[in-house]
Amino acid sequence: MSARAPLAALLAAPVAAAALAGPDPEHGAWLGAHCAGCHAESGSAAMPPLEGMDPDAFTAAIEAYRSGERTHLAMQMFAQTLSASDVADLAAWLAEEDTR
Amino acid sequence: MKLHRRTLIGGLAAGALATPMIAADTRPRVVVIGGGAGGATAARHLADGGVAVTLIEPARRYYTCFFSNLYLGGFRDLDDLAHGYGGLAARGVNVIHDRAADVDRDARRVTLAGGAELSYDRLIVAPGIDFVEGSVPGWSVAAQNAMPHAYRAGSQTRLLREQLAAMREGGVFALIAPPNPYRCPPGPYERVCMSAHYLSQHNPSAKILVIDPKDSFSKQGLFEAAWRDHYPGMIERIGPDFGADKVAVDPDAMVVDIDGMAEDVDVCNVIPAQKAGRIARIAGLTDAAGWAPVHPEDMRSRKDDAVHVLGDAANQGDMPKSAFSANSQAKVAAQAIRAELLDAPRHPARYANTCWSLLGPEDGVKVGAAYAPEDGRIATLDSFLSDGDENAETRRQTWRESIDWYRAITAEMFG
Ligand SMILES: Cc1cc2nc3c(=O)[nH]c(=O)nc-3n(C[C@H](O)[C@H](O)[C@H](O)COP(=O)(O)OP(=O)(O)OC[C@H]3O[C@@H](n4cnc5c(N)ncnc54)[C@H](O)[C@@H]3O)c2cc1C
Repeated sequence: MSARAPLAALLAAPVAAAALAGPDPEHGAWLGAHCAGCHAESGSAAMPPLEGMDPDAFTAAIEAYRSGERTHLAMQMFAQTLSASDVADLAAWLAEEDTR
Repeated sequence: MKLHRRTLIGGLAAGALATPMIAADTRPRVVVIGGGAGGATAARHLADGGVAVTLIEPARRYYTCFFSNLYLGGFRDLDDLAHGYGGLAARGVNVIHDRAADVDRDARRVTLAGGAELSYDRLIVAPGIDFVEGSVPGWSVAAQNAMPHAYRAGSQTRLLREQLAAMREGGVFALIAPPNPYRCPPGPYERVCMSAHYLSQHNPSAKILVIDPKDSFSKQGLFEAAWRDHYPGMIERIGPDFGADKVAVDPDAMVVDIDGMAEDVDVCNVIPAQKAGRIARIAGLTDAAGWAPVHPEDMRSRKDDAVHVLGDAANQGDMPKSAFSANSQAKVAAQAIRAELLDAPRHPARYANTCWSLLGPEDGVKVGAAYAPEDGRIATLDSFLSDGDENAETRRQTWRESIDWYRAITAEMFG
């Protein structure tokens, strides 16, 4: 996991252990597999596919659901169950997917 | 390809070929019993690499129970609900169309009805439900042609649809709802909506009698509002306060007896009390109530570390028995199995569920929750439920979502 942490993060001090480790795209992929229960390749405008989503747009959407700025029964609830590091892990996974 | 594999299994059963065949593949072996929402999802995720996966499923075509009420309502054809196993086979799953007849957990071996024997390192048991005999006195599986259950999809669903279509003008359709816990908590009540929709178009003076042993049920306010608004005067529900917990049937006479009061009915859908699919009991995985208790971290059987039980058959805690739940549980179990057998990474379990129901044309509602292991069971973290006063556009969106979800889960299971 620490192998993935950017050098800058390793050198910065003091930093929290979580920040040291950096986002974990593998954990993001695990969380993403659950999202894919609805947000599959076959998705539509109503439930867009998660894979291929822009990581920043994804993070912004989750934030908007968390704050209530965007409303959707299921997404507001699921967004609440994600921690900040979960969201970062998901975004890191999407970023990895993007470069594939 | 499939035929070829079946021939090989036949050879294994005969004995002579067994040793060289098994020695040829050194990958860890996972056997999955049941190719439904739980089993098919698990097989697909395990087949992605490193594990030799064998899926045992008697049916060549799986008819989804999910969306089968929409067929009753005329919103889907029965063929739309049928899915084959070619996609899983193409992903490397060894699909065997047979029934698991026995499990020797000490020897880690499954015996098929056809006689073949399969050894496993890990076993996944996902056989869905069976009915509790005698739960509705007078009804048994032998009476399922007179009074269908239509709670395993396919010919039973078609039969119920045909009976509704053939019902005399102004006839009575009785639906006997099951006690908790059972597959798809909103299922019987969505069925009432969809039958009512069909009847309102073809037989508008027909009546629907819901005989329910439970005091309350899933999405009750939403369903009752829909019955009142979409199908006024058509539907009456009798609860335990009026004897619905003491119901018996006479399938030959087409009579329903509600606590001593005999009612003549024209069509009767008996949804009996339920328990885990028979093979779970044969394998010694079930508790006194007939369900298979599991650990919430990975759906591992409490009776055997080498066995995982998924979906409706499992006694896990708060998750409803739904295809969405089974699909979610399958991902957790597949991850745990790969972590153990292949040293793959393992992350904490998360589970989710959403159950959509169609109340009338484009009028969809939903209930859902997020779950995590807590105190030895799967516990609800947070939940949501559609509002009674949503506008038509929101309801239409919800209906559209359910169509997307159906496409997503069936693609994941079979694609
Ligand atoms: C009317 C109705 C509507 C529903 N609507 C929804 C919905 O909208 N959303 C939702 O999420 N869920 C819905 N459900 C619930 C959903 O269908 C089930 O919860 C889901 O199918 C459970 O998955 P499972 O894998 O446990 O069992 P199943 O999907 O039933 O699969 C079990 C499989 O195991 C096989 N099997 C059994 N015994 C053996 C054996 N001995 N050897 C080999 N194979 C065996 C069976 O043939 C079957 O294919 C609905 C159910 C009904 C009845």
